[in-house]
Amino acid sequence: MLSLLNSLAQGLIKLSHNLAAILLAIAVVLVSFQVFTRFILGDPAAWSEILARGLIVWSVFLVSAAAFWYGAMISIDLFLDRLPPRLRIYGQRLVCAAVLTLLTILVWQGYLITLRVSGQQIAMLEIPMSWFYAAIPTGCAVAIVAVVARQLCAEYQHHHGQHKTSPLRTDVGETL
Amino acid sequence: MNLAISSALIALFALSIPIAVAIALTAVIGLYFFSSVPLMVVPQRMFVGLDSFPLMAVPFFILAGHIMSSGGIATRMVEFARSLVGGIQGGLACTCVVTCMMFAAISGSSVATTFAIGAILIPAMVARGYPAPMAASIQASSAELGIIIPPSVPLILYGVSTETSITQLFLAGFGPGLMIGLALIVMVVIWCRLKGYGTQDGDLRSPIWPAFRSAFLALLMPVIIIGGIYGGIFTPTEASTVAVLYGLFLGMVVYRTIKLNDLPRIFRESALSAGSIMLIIAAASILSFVIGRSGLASDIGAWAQNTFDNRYTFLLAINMLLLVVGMFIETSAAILILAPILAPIAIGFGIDPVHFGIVIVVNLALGMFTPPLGVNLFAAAQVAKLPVEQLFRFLLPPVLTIITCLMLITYVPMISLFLRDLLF
Repeated sequence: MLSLLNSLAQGLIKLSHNLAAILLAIAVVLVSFQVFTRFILGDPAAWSEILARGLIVWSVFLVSAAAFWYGAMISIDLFLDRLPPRLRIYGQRLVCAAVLTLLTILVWQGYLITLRVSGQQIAMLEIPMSWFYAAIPTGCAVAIVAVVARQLCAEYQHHHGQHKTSPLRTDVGETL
Repeated sequence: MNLAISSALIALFALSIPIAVAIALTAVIGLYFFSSVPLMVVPQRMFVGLDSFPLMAVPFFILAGHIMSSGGIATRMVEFARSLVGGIQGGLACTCVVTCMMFAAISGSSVATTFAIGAILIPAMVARGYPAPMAASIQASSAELGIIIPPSVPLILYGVSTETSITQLFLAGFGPGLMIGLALIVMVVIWCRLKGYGTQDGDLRSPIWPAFRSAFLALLMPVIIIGGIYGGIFTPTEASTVAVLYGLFLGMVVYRTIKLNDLPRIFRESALSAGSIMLIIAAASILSFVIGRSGLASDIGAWAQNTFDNRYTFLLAINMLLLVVGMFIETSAAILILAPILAPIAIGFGIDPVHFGIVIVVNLALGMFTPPLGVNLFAAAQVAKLPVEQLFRFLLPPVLTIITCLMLITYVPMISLFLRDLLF
């Protein structure tokens, strides 16, 4: 059961990470296209810049799940590193609770702001503004899955000892 | 409210909560307990903070850095630098500084510089008898040039958050970058003379001309990027995509060190490292909004006006504050939170905002290789496969060198501004 949930969570993290990478690539192509139209055609395409900006916002919020999962979020780890191993799990729970509080607020308020702007149109693109704002609740929802999955791995390790390789903890902490 | 915000921020940082989360939570606390503004403003400001054309240069320059690191460019630059300065005693250590200067001109981050150059030069220095921690400390300190010599991610962040021209900031980064590079070269030469290291450094190095020819296309890159920005041909953001495309062209077509199936890895890694910086930017944008409403910025401004008689004492105090901040807090977070508060005060004292940006970045760059939290230090220790504590003993000469340069840069604005004043 747990390992099924875990592979679902990992699938979701991988999917959002890959999407974020693809969106970054598309944004590069769009801005290059804009440079091309400005130099070669003498008439810069304005829509490509606006679309690229929205894609970067999506890429950033989508990759947040992977950033939490791989421990790539930058933090000042002096406190956690100084804790004796026995107490470390409590420190990790505290960090996890703080992160989940913020992500919950962002999913909830992000959803509300997305509804709020759904009547507005993005200039040049003629699509609702909510398509871009939806990046925040969507990305943060996936990030919640990643943070919970990572904490479950830490709990499993805490209860079953460091030596046993956990079926859950496949690549936590491994930096890319 | 001001006290609550500052203590919440420090407490959340101290508890090892990720910086982006700590910053955003502080803003939430300020809004929820001390104002009637609805929390909906949190995602709204985060979105607005990220949705910016100048800021797109950050992920793109990070991507360009990842591409250069994989693409044989570092190796060629090392060979060329070695052919220039490798012949003297301590030549390999000088090569390290010079290569970092060249790489800094195509990469906007100093961690990328540490990995790309350190992977080649730390083992090479160790093989020629340098103590491994000394090699790692030279690498960690030279790599700070990555964020001083343009393009530079921290300078972009300063420009965006204080509405200062990024082009002018980039121009102003050259003088200080060159000066710090030369100072580091003088330092390593004296250091090697005194300790007797690096007497065999000149062996087997290639002559200048072939090394130059082999590195030519890589060396052309800074000319295209920086020349394009200063010539008014591209904006910094457009230049960052040109850097990506040129890097891919060199890596995939000319040097053939990047295969088609390396691309997913490069883009995934770049999205991750760019995302973790951009989330801090998003969080800082809501905290700046809260700080702006709380009056904290104007309180600090009024206090500074009363406390410091002139710009010289003010700059000294700023430098001391930033030295401490830089030791503990990640560079981009420090800039995004402090620059919007401090820059208006500096302008009030008659300091040029471009010069002030350079002072902040040079100062925080020092924090990248000082304990307890220096990202370059960790990166160099990782490359050298050493525990980070072993490097500490070898950090004193570079730290003193950079502090001397920092004082010169702070009190002689010409070093930063002469190029800009020449062109604007």
